[in-house]
Amino acid sequence: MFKSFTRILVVVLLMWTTGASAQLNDAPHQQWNQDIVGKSIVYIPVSLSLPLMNIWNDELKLLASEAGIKFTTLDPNLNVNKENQMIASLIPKKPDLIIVHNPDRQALARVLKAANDAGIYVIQINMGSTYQSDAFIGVDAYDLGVKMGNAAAQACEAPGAPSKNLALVTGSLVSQFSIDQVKGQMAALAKHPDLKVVTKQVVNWDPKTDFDKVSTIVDAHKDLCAIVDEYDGEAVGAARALAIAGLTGKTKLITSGAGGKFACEHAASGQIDVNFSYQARDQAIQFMTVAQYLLESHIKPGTVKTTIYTPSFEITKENMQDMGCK
Amino acid sequence: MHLAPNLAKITQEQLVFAAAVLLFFVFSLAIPGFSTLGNLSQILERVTVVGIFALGASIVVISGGLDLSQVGSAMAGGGMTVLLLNSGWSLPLSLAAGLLVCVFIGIINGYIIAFVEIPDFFATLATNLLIFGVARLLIFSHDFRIYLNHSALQSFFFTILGARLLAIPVTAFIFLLLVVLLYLFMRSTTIGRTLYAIGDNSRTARENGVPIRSYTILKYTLSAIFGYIAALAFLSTIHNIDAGVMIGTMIFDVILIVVLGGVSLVGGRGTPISVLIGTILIGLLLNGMTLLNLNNDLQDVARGAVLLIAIVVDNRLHPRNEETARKGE
Repeated sequence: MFKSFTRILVVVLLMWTTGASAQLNDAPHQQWNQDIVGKSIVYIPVSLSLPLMNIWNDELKLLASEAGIKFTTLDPNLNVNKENQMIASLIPKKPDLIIVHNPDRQALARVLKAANDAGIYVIQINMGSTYQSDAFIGVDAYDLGVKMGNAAAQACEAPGAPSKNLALVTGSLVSQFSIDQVKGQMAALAKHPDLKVVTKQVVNWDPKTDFDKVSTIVDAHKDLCAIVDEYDGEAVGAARALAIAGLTGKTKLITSGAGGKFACEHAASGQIDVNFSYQARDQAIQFMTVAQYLLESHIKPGTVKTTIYTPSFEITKENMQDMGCK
Repeated sequence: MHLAPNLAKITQEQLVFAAAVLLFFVFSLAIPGFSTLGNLSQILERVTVVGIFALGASIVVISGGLDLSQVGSAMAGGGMTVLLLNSGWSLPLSLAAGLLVCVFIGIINGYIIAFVEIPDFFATLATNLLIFGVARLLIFSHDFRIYLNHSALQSFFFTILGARLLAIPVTAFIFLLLVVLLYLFMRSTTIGRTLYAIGDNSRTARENGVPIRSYTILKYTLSAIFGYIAALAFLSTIHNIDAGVMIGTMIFDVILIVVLGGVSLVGGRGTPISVLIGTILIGLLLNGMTLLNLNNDLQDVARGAVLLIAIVVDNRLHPRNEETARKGE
């Protein structure tokens, strides 16, 4: 009874104190209320069908709500034309800021410039375009590929590795992110001429296709030392194929992804050996921080060009506790 | 244009079977390790899910219809099952709820086509979008892909479903069993023969007192039930249900297999054996192309070409003018 009363008292006090702080009228609060509260941000990922973009969406929505920003998500569902039209139709509505995830470097360049010209801030995430808008924030796909290639080389050159043969699995043939990542992987592997890429497969980000293809590959090449699989959302298919073939832990599965619970669970179970995580939740915080900075800055949209490459960290079964996995 | 009498006697099923045998020998010679038991098991595993879908779809096509919402309804039902299992519901109740979702969608499809008289293509295209939207709101609201939790995976049901017998997945045996059962159902029961009769000539069937509307609802419901079984096979293979599949290209693979095997799009022709043969040919093709390291574009070209050839052969073996005369239109 006493505990319940204390709890209620604490809640009432908290509500009173936070209410009081919201009513502070000093210069920072005035600026915040004027430049942030009530502003509108539109988030356009290439699709909400992938966990990464869902994590960004959830986190951005939460951060926007906390800041009193009107937040809208538009989902073109992997349709490049639709994404283009969505941005074009947003321009006359004049949201204050657009956070956009490009499908490639070319597709949205013209319409993103038009948005900037119309006075809308544009932040591009994880995939840049030939048009440099106010900010690009995201992982460096090439650098990520290099890290993955190096991890594969390390696994394949380790004593006891089953062979020097490895396989590459790519999300898409047309996504610039995929293309850059593969370039990075190949650049890293080129420094190890003893290693041989026996097959390169494209799985369209789909874990079932990944499962089907990797099942076939590991049956034909039972001695693979590593599979470098672009994205952990699809690589779960490869992990399952390796498990069925009895190759979990023998053929090292190296991938990358959004991090969080998903990466932790697969590291803990040993299904994914190395996962380069670009910590999607932290990325979303960076997107929102830069968004708020731009809104408060009153800089003319399109005049500053900021690039922020976000870090990626290696998550393995051995270091997962240190990487924030519970 | 009519084919020579001897050639006209050859069924599409036989042609596809011959093509499958030829492809098997070509790939066996060209690709080391292609004809091993391990690889043949991979081929079966790869096409099991789409093969089960195709069996259900063939019921609709044989009786003169098309179900573009089959994969969508299956993923909605499968998603419901995973959601409930992960929330602690019992396995029988979760399975029943998932099945109920699929049956409900099948009945709605059948009702719209039979009673509201919307063409099957448009009706099922629209319901698929509707299912996707509702499923996204209610089942896949947080994650596009929902994973079966560890305790559910350890259940007897999923352990058996995910197991292997002589290196062949249990789901592949289920597929083969379903081929036999559906064959017997379509050939030996009144309902099955009536479905052929409706596909062959719906007007005559109606004039002979067949309740066409009830059969329309029945065939879409059966298609949805087969879809649910395919969703469970999908789930037991990769341990998740994926909303992306609802709006992906899997339904076109299903139709490809149905048409390829010789289930004519004009209705009344083909058997579950045709579906099995079509499934095997596609399995051989996909497996061989992966082992040959062909990129996705070339694989799509091959699949598209095979579908086109199948439709052309279907058209030549069953010319439209003869078909329309047969249907009395």
